[in-house]
Amino acid sequence: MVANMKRIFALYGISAKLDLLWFLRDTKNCVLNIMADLVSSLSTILAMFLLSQRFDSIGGMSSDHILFMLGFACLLDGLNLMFFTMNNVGYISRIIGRGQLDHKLIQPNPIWMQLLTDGFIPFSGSSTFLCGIGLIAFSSIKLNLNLNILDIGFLIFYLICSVIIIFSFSYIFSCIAFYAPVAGEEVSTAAVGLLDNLKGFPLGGIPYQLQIIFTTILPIGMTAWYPANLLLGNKLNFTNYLLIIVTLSLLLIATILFRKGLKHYATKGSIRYADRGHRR
Amino acid sequence: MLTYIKTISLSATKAFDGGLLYIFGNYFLKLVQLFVFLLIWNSLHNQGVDLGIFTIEQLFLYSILASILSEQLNIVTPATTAFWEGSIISRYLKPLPVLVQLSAETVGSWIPKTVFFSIPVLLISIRYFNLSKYLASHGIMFLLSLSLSISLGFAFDYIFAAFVIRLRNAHYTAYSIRVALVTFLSGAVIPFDFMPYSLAKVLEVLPFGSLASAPLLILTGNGNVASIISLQVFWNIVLWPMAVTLFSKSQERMVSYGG
Repeated sequence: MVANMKRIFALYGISAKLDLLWFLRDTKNCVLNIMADLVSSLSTILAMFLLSQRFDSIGGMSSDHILFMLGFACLLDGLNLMFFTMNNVGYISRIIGRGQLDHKLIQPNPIWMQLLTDGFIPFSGSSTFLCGIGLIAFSSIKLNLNLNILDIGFLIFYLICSVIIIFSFSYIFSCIAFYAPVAGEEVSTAAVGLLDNLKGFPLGGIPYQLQIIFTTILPIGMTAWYPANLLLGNKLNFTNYLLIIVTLSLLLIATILFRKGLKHYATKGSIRYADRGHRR
Repeated sequence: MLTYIKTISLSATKAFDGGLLYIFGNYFLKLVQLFVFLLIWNSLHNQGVDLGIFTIEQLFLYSILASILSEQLNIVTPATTAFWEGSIISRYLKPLPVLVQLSAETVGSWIPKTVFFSIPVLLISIRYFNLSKYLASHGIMFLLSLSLSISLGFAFDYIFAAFVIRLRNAHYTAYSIRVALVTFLSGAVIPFDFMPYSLAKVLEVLPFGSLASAPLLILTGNGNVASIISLQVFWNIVLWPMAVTLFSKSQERMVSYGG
C-alpha cells in the first residue's frame, strides 16, 4: 500500500515534469492550448449563465445559485482536464480501439496506476480548475455563504464523486471497443460529450420522472445540478445519498465490464497491427 | 460536375468509416441535448417568464432547426483537419481547385446526418410543432437566407484555415477556440433576444449573427427580412474576397507535420 502510494506520487511527479517542460520549451503553443481549453470549457456554461442573467431564475434556482452550480461544473471540468484528458485516459475507447492498450500492458506498473497518473497535467491543464475556484468564490460571496472546512470537505467529496461518475460512464461505453475496436474507437467522446455539454443545466423545472432518468441512467444531473443543490442546502425530491449510490453503482458496473473486456482483449488482442489492421 | 458529385459521394460514405456506433452515438448526443433544451424552454414558459419576441412554439422551432441544421449553420470544412494530419497534400495532387474540393467534401459529409437525424426530426417537427405553417409563410426567404448563411460559413472557414496555416502547429487549439466562439456568437445555442446587457444589439450586426441567427429568425417570423438579408449579402461581399486572398497567400506558408 505504502509502496503503491509512493509509486503513484513518483508517477505524478514525472507527468508534472513533462508538462512543465512543454510549458518551458514551447511556451507560445502551450499558452495557446491553455487559452483554447479555457474558452472551450467556458463556452459550455456561458449559455446557461447568460440565460440565468436574463431570466433571474431557471428551474427553481436563482441566477446566483446557477452561478454557483456553473462554478461547480467548471471545477469538475478542470479536474477532468488536469487528471484524465492527456494521453486519452478519460477517453479509454480510443486507447482500446487503436490497440494502444498493448503499450500499457508491457509497462512495469499495473494498468489502474497508469490510468490514474498518465493524464496528469497540472500546469497546462489547470486554467479551467482555477476559473472554477474563482466562480465558486465569487458566487459564494454573492450568496453570503460562509463556507467552513466541513463545507469545503463536502465540496471536494462531491467533486470526486462527480469525476468518478463521468469516468465510469465513459468506461462503461468504452468497453464496446474491446469487441468492436473500429466502430467503438470514438464512443467515449460521445459518452463524455453528453455529460459535458449538459452539465450546467438546472433540471428543477422538468418533470420528476425525467429528473430520475437524468440523475441515474443518464447522470447529467449528477455532474453539477444535484451536488450543487446539496451544497447550497436546497431541498430536492431525492435522497441525499443518491450521489453516493449512483457513483458506487456506476463504478461497480464499469469495473466489471472493463475487467470482462480486458479478458477478451487478452485472448483476442488487437487487429491494429495485423496486415488488414485499421490503423496500420 | 460528375467529379464533384463523386467527391460528395465519397465524402458521404467516408463518414461511416468510424462505424455506425460513432455516427449514431453523436446523433443520440444531439437528440438528448435538443430534448433538454426544449425542456428548459418549457420550464421557463411554465414559470411565466417573458419570452420576448418568441412564442413557446417559435422557441421550440428555433432550437429544433438550430439542431437539425447545425452543420450548415457552423460550417467546418476538412481544411483544418487536413493541415493537421498532413493529408492536405493529396488535395493538391488532384486536378481540381482545392477550395472547391474541400467544399464538395463538406457537402458530402452532411448527407449521413441529414438522412439519419435531420429528416426524421424535421418530420416530427412538422407533425408536432406546426413547422409546415412557418415553412409556408417564410419558407422561400428562409431558404434564401440559409443559402447566404452557408456561403458565408464557407468564407469564414477558409479565412480561419488561412489563419491556421500561419499558426503552424496549433491547429487543434485554434479549432477549439473557433468552434466555441462561433457556436456562442452566432445565436445557434440561445437566441440573441435572450442575451442580457444589450448584447443582442452588438451580436446581430457582427458577421457571426448572419450565420445562424439570421435564417432561424426569418423562419420563425421574428426578423426584419429585408435588413437581415441585406446584412448577409454585405458580409458575403466583404468576406469572400478576403477568404480567397488570404487562403491563396497562406498556401505558400503551408507546413504540416502530419501524424
